[in-house]
Amino acid sequence: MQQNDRSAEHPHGGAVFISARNLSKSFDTHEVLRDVSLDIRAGEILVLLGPNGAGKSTMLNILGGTLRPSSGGMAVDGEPVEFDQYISKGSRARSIQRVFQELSTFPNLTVAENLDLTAERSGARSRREIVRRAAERMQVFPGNRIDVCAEVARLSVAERQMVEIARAMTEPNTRLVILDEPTSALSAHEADQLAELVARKAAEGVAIIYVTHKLEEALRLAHRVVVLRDGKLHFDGDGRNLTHDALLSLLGATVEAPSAILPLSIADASSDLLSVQWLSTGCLRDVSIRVGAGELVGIAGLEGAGQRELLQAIFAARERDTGAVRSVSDIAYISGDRKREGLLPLWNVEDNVAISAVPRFARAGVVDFSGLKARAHEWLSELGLSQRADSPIVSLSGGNQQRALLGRALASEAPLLLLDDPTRGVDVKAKASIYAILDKLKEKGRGGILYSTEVAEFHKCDRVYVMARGRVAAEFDRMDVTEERIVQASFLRPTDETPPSGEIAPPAGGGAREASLARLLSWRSLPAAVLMVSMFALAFWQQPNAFSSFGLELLLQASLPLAFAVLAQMLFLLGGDIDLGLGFAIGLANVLAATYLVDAPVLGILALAGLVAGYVLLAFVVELLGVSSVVATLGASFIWLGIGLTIRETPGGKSPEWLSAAVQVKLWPLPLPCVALAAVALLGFWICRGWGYSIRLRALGNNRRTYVSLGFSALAGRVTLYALAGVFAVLSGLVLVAATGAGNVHVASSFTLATIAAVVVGGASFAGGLVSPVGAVMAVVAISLVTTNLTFLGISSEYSTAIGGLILVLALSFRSLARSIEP
Amino acid sequence: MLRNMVKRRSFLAATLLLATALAGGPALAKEKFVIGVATPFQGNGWQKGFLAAAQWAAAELSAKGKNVELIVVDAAGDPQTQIQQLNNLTLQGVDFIILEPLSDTALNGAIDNAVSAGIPVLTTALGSVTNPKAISLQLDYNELGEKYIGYIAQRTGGKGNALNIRGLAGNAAEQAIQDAYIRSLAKYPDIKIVSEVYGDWNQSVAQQRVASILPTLPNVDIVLSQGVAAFGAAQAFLAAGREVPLQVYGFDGADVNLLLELNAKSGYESVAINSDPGVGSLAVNVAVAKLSGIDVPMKMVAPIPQITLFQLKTDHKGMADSDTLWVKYDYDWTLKNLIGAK
Amino acid sequence: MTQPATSSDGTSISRTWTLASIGRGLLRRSWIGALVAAISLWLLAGMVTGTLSISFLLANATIAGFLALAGTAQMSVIASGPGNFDLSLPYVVTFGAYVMSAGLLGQGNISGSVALTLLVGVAAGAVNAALIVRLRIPAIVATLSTGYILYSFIVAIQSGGFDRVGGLFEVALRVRFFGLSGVLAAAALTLAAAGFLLSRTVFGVQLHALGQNAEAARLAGVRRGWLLLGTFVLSGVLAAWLGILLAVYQGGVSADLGRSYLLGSVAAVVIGGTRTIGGVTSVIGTAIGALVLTLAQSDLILLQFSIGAQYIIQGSIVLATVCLTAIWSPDRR
Repeated sequence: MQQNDRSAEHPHGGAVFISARNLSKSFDTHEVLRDVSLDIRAGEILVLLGPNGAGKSTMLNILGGTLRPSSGGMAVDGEPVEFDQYISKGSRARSIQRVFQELSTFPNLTVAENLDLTAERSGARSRREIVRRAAERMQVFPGNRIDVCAEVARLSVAERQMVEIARAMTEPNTRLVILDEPTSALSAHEADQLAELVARKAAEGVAIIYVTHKLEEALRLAHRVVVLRDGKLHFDGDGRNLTHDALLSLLGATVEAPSAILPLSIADASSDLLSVQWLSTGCLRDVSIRVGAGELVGIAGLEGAGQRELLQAIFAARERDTGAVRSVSDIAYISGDRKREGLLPLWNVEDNVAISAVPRFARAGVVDFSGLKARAHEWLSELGLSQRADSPIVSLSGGNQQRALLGRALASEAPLLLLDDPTRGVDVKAKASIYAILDKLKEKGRGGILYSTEVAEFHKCDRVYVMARGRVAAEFDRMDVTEERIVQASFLRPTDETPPSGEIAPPAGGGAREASLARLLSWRSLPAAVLMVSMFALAFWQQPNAFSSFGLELLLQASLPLAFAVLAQMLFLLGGDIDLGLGFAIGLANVLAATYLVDAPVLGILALAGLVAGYVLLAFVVELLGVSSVVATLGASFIWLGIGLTIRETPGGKSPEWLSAAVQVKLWPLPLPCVALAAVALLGFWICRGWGYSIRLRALGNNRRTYVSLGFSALAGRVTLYALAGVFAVLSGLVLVAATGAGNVHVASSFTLATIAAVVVGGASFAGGLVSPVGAVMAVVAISLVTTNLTFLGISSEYSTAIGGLILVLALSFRSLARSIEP
Repeated sequence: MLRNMVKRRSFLAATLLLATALAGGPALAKEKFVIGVATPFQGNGWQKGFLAAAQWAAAELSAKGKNVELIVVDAAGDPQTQIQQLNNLTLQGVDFIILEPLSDTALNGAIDNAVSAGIPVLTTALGSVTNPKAISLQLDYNELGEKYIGYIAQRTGGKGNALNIRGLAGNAAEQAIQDAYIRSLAKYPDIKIVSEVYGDWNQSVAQQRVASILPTLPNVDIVLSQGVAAFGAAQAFLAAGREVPLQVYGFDGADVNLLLELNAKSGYESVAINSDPGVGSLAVNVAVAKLSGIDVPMKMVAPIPQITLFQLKTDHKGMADSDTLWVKYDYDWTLKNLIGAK
Repeated sequence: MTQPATSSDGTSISRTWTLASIGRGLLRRSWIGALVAAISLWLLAGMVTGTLSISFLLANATIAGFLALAGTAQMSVIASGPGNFDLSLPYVVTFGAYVMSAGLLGQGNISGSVALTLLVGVAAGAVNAALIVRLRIPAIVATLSTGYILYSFIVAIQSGGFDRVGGLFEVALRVRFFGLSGVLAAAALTLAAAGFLLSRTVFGVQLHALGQNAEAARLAGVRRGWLLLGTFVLSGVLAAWLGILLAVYQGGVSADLGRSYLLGSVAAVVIGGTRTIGGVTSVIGTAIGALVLTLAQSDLILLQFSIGAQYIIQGSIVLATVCLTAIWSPDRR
């Protein structure tokens, strides 16, 4: 079948860009790619096809420079590639763009910022420029309704995919674009636009690798088709004369009329372990399946067709009768994503297995460890792991880890097992033993649902449901299950498909008002703003003479040092950290400034710089050692306090005249504190939004891993954040010196917790990368005005802290409420 | 004199009613004074005493025809809140502000605001501020030191090993009290300080820190402390199964009851010397004097009372642990002895 | 099954206890460094004063017992997942002490007061858990707001007055037996009970699983909501119990009674060698960590270090321990 016509003429292909020779790759002992050779030519659309697990992703990872092959070589523009160098170079330097199946945009950034993040740096760009360019780049989807100023988190999956595609397609100096299932969420219209775009790009001389499961797309686009099967190059040839049937047979499916979708028999449901009827949630549509005792049921289909969602929905519904899902009380879940969903990494093998049986081996809540241990050993020897019982689970090979996790499911004695791709990345031998265990389970009358990315595994199943785009597309009995049939059904296109969300008709009249209301509701600083405005109103109503220049000055004066401090705390939260030493750091800055700035200005400046350096040191500790920022700053707080007390045991010193004069400046009509607070808020805003580095800092705070994978330095980012926080701590200390005319290490000790509260009320999220400096400053003002109004109203100040706590809770509940009513 | 002035808080209501009934005549011109009182934190007995004294003085003055209204705000231990509250009182246009400053420095700006709005500010009780525009009514730490060390020296014959429990590190009042002790101790070179701990003006911290080093101090004859630590120190000694050494007690009910209990058990003798919450009544009197146009000096010192065991036994048996003793100073006494005594 | 309480040490209860294996096991304990430090600090104190005093050690252990209770409360919360801390702890301690001393159920009703105080701890923990689970508020902010609200309760309750807790309860806690005080015994018993709860019960085992990998634990059948409720209630009850012990031991309360226990509790956990990544607990480690902190404080007083130097050294101990623990652990970021 293999058809090597690399030497043949390629009417579309220009010069060879990348040529790969005899690439092989194995993980552990499992060979996923075997001896594949391939040329990528400029201007050619290469469609890469293959069933799940055929080695497509591995191939793309090697070409894209994120993986090194076990053997084989590559040449770019005829120059042989040194893989170490190639991998470290970063994708932009390689002129390769890749659109991932798993989205790699940062949800906390706007579309424009996401597009700018990876763009070629040519000096700082203005915000308007960034937005203009983004709008321009998004025009690859003409007529799209994506607001480039909207956060990606607010976009639909389809829109996010469009952003990713636009990013890859419009990056300058790109020579190869790799599109991995780019249309999985797109509507037909957008897919058409993409097809045009791909053709246009190819005509410009860019090489395209297009991975898809949609055969009609392959037929429409391909200049050349490459089929991988079982890690081997199965076909490599001209794609323009192929037919749908020819492709199917290349993929290993027999060509026959599609079998009818069998209606579900619900009659004998009483003996079932599980029955799901017309389940529709998330991406699932009208799914109905059943599992009887002693049955192993397969859920087949292409990746992302809804299999995992179905398993999760079934697991979430255990011990509850949700209507759509009726099941036995106990269900065990075995995930192939061992690291994220399986392993308890601090424990040994035995403990990892026994955890699910703990409730059964307990009397009155006390665990019978010896009984548990005895049973655990039985399970382990059944699995052939008794030698490794005491080994840390992380020291095991993938296959053995998976067997241990299967052991955990056995230990739970749940009658129904959900097997979520349990053989992912394990070798043949381990696979065989996993199958053997499954057979034993069936004999004991336990049932299971198996989802696998490898079609061959479904031979074990009594019945196989094939899912396509969230629906059950076909059901086969044990007798009828063949690989070919499953593959064919996977590519079925359900007839009554509703268009994905990208194409929803624009809302009728009044939509604009609703949209702006929704936007207001989704504004994270809304609680802080509402609170501040209402507190101002109440204060002016209670005490009309507060509505004057002098009155405002008195109202706002106390908030100024706290506002600087809040920015310092906000920078920590921006990076996903917390500073529990902030209060004493400000106190120390206050002491240093009051002690040295007048008599020895140089020493004073050096000392303050030293404090900032201390923060940089903390950044190293947190970033390089992975120490929790809470603990690191807590330790530092003792040190700040100690140094402060050593330098100045009792309050004193003096404020430099220029500094005192600066805070005494009288402005009209808005007094200095008013102007300064606004300036602080704007400065914070600039750091978070306007600055050249700010987009990256927010990206880092949101997802450190993706940030690093883009080739940016997380250390540099964290050092920047901490150093800036240190600078703001120093500024806060200086304002305190000016306001109080002396140094006192205890002066700001209440700031630590107050700043956390204010930043959070102001709209920050602990997920990192989501802060609102303007909101934080408003929260500072609002919270201090609460105290003011209590005084004005004659309410005992005992309640002010309680009210502060309640505001915190309310602001946060408001946000989780707003989040839950959003679509 | 002291015996008459020292009253239990529970007597207040009765005396107050009596005073209202008897002294009804408009001895002074009828006007209304609104006085803001900014307290640092509520809840310790001393602060409760201070507030009670201030309210007693206000009621006394009102009875004499000066209509005095107190607006009390509490900063819950946070200097920023106190700044805010000071500014609020200024905005509200009170006539006078009595301030127990939470920080020696942080409030300077807020005091400037009030003074430039024509509102005099008097700092008292907890400490002073470095702002010279504030009227300062401070406890006489020198007198405190002399009485305190004097009593101890008299009892020990001027010699012995002393454990020194200090207050909150980095506080100016703490340092002032400490300095006064050291000055007075200079007269008694045979009193040796063998160890020094910081009790943070926190009973619990004082007790724990003393308890943890106590086994290393086999001979302690004297304990020096500032206010709240005396009780904690005694508890540490008792918990270690040791005799409570000679120390001077404070005005808290807990202190007083402990002293009486020790005396009943073993004849242990001592006195109570402390900074007096009754300074609250002095502050209100000074405020009214100032507002009545009397020339008030910028710096005044309040006396330090010493209460003997005999007085405690006769007048203050069975007071609650959470109560505090304080001395009543009336308006005339204040005019004569505090304001007149420049 | 290995006792999860010592899971970080990788030991198993079935191991035959030869002397050599005990030695090896000891060396692998995460708190061995802290133990060495504690002994050194004791020896140092002996050198400074000239006598190696057992009663000095016991006196410090009594103080450390309080801190260990706070540390154990904090540790359970830290173990429930990365980034979880209980900032309401000092307020629960103080409020508990006031409720104990206020005699709300009648002045002589000691057992009633104890029950009421513990109930307050349960309620504080339940509110924390509700905020975290129901409103999805991060633990650190949820406990901060609970703390703020409790502070106002403290101010409200203290104006009502309080008195000494007397009776047999006081006698029992103050009794001394060869330098061993009743209150130390009470703290030790509580720690033992907490250790039992964390290592021997379904709750403890599942808590350790949850803290290591929340998603894996969920798929293994662990109910996150209930476990967090249990964890924060445990923390609240331990804090309230600490409030009771302090109120009785000191014979009085003050509004800042719990203040030093916020930083102290985290420091004790960290110095005890327990990593703050979740899923790890060690009551023994935390107790030793608390002892190290207390002994270090006493030593610095004996050596007549200035108060500033005392703080600097304490901070350095915390930072150095946490850095060393991070460097030695295999799974660095």
